[in-house]
Amino acid sequence: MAEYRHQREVDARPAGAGRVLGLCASALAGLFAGFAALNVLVTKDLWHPPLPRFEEITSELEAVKDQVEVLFLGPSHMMTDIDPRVFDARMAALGRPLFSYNYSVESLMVSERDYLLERLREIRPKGLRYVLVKPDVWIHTTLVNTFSTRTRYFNRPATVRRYLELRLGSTKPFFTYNLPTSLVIAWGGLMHLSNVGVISDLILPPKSALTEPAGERHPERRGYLPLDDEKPKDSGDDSPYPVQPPSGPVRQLSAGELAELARLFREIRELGAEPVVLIPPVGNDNLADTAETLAAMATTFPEVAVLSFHPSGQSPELYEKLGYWADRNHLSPAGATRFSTLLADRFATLLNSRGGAP
Amino acid sequence: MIFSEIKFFLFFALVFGFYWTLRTNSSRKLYLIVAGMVFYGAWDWRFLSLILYQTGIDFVAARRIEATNDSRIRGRWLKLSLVSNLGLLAVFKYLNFFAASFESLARSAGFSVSHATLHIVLPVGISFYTFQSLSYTIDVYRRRMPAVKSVLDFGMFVTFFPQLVAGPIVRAYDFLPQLDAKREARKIDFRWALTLFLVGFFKKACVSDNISPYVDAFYNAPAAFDTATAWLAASLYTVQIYCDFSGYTDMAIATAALLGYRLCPNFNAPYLALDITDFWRRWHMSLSSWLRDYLYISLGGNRGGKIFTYRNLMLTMVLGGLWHGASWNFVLWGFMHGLALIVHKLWTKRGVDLGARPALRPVSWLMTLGWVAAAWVPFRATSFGDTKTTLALLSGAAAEGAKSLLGPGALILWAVVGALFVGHVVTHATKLWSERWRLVSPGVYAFGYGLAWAVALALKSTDYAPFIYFQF
Repeated sequence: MAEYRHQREVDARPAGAGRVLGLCASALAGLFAGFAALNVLVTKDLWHPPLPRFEEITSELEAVKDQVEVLFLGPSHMMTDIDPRVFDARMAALGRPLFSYNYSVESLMVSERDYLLERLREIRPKGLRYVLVKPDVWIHTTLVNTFSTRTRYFNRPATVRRYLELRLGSTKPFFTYNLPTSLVIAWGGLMHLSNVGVISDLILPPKSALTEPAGERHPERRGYLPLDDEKPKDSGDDSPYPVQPPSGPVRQLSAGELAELARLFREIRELGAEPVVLIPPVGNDNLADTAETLAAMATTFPEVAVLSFHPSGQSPELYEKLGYWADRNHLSPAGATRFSTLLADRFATLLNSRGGAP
Repeated sequence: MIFSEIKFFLFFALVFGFYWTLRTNSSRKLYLIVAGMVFYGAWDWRFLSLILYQTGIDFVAARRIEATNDSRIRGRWLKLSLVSNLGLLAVFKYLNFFAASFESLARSAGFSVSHATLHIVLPVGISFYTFQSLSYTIDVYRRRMPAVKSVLDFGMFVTFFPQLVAGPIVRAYDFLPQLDAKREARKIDFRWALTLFLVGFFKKACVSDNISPYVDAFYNAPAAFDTATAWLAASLYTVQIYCDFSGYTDMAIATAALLGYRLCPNFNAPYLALDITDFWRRWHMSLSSWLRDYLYISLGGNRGGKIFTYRNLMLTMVLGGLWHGASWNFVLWGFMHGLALIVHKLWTKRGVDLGARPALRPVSWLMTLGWVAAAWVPFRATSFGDTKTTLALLSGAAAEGAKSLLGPGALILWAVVGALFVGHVVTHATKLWSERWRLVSPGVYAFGYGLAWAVALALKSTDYAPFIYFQF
């Protein structure tokens, strides 16, 4: 005997297609009724972000909100590559003392960046003057990683379609996409609706919180997370420089992506700060901007400064020393120290060219 | 590709949809062999050659065994099958383990020996399909069944994807006759199969995967945690391994059923066992019966007196432990179970059978569950040192570490697990899963089934974890 009555044959009448379709429709109705009920019962406000870093850096930032003048905002290679203490020390040495904070999160998606901006609006750092941001509107494949609650938590119903359309690089209405694209959008919408893992995420602590207990954080680092503190990043390729060329054709920024950038810059300005596009050094060209992208951005947004450390830019030094790299996309602590200094030099030059004080 | 992820759902939808449109039995079998290859190749296509090699050797060996009455020739072909199957297992699973153990032994005896460790990748499911294929040639040798004439049938027996990588270890005499006639969709108990798949999904994705981070966090560094966390991790792992493996089995049986085939049951509420012998009749039944039929009996079983019986019992359990993995921890796990089985036999012979007395049944149940849970410690720990540390923490014999995983999340998890255990007992006693829900109309069932999936998806962990038994 097993835990349940074991398998046995039945002798049913062959079911017609109509009956099978009817039963499938009934099952789908049950499924969607379940989704709908969960959406009513478990509101997004009850969820917690599965990454504790969101909360950590936000609470730390809140504690120093009256001091912060420059904010770094971007994905993991911003988080691991910029040490605000080194940056500030260099700026002070250059006669422009300021206080900066690294408000970056690994694999930051557009939706998550919006969430961080929303939290920034709540915190309202009074002295914030500059936000050095890596926009990444054009690269984030994770945007359609629809099985991740991390994606869906930040995807409000009103914006989920916008994110999906952005990811797909167009602004066409749903039904004018080709079939595969439409299916991706439909799939994203379905996953958004389905709340996969929502209860599990609601009642259990974030998985990473179990392996990284509180009390081991370093608030004095101001958001900077050197790679020697973490397991190596899974970048899919551990060998550093030389830079890999883009694997696909260079894409021009779409109208949707340019609109997204405009929205980002506007929201930063609404915080009372000036946006500066920062492209940190990366060994994988697919993660950097291309010359074409920067050109398109410069044409559309001439008022936004760009500090690019892309190999095609002006920082060969960072790419010539293997010891500066932890993997293809992230700098080692030594590399981060050097980059933070170089960044301060470029930023000070930018400020000097404008004649303003931070 | 694991049963609880979307990739498998899409794969199975394609396999299922096309399978029932095929007209002939042969084309269906061929199609399922190809599906099995794709399923296995999704992990590592290179190891498909191992399966093909084993299939070829055992097919030919069994045919040759059957073709003659000369016991020497029969024996030679059996030996070829044994050496071929166990040889692959020895190379891919145990070579480094034995080399490292020999080196360590030689060093402790004062000799300087060093070996170069080969980086051998363990092919997923090798222990399962090796045992399954091996049992076929042994059964033919023992004249328990005739050799199969169609290579297509034998190929499907080995590569049938629902049980290919983690069992149940199907017996050829049970499965091969099912291939004789074309399966008929109208004879399939779809409601039973669909419900079983959902139950399996729930066990794996909603229970096991949500428990996994706690257990992993503890066993990554047991010495760093306090005693309460050690108890939490040990008890949660007891639940996790059951839900993980029986969840997989449920989904495998259900998947096979949806294609019209029957696989043997593998679990029968093992944690409700009243003694350790009873536990082994309920836990991983296809392996325990395999070990009994092909190892314990081959060693002499209980035919040589008490001492030999106990020796055979211990050898079977220790080798059964080693079957799970090349590590002394698994040997210890097998030893603990072998010891418990011997003690239970001794007790029973002296008339001490706690499970037989109603008033003492709770004591007997607790003792059995406690021993089984303690034996899971070496099974899960990553080293002998971690096993020692964890057992010492559990018994209060070691200094506690400062870390703790106890918090609201752990308490909620425990409450949920406790409620599920009660539910498990109730459904087992009332046969709720098997019979009660059959009373509702098909339309209501379909609606409820969809609703239940919505809840299961919300409860599932967002992290996919591979099935624990895949590593064996």
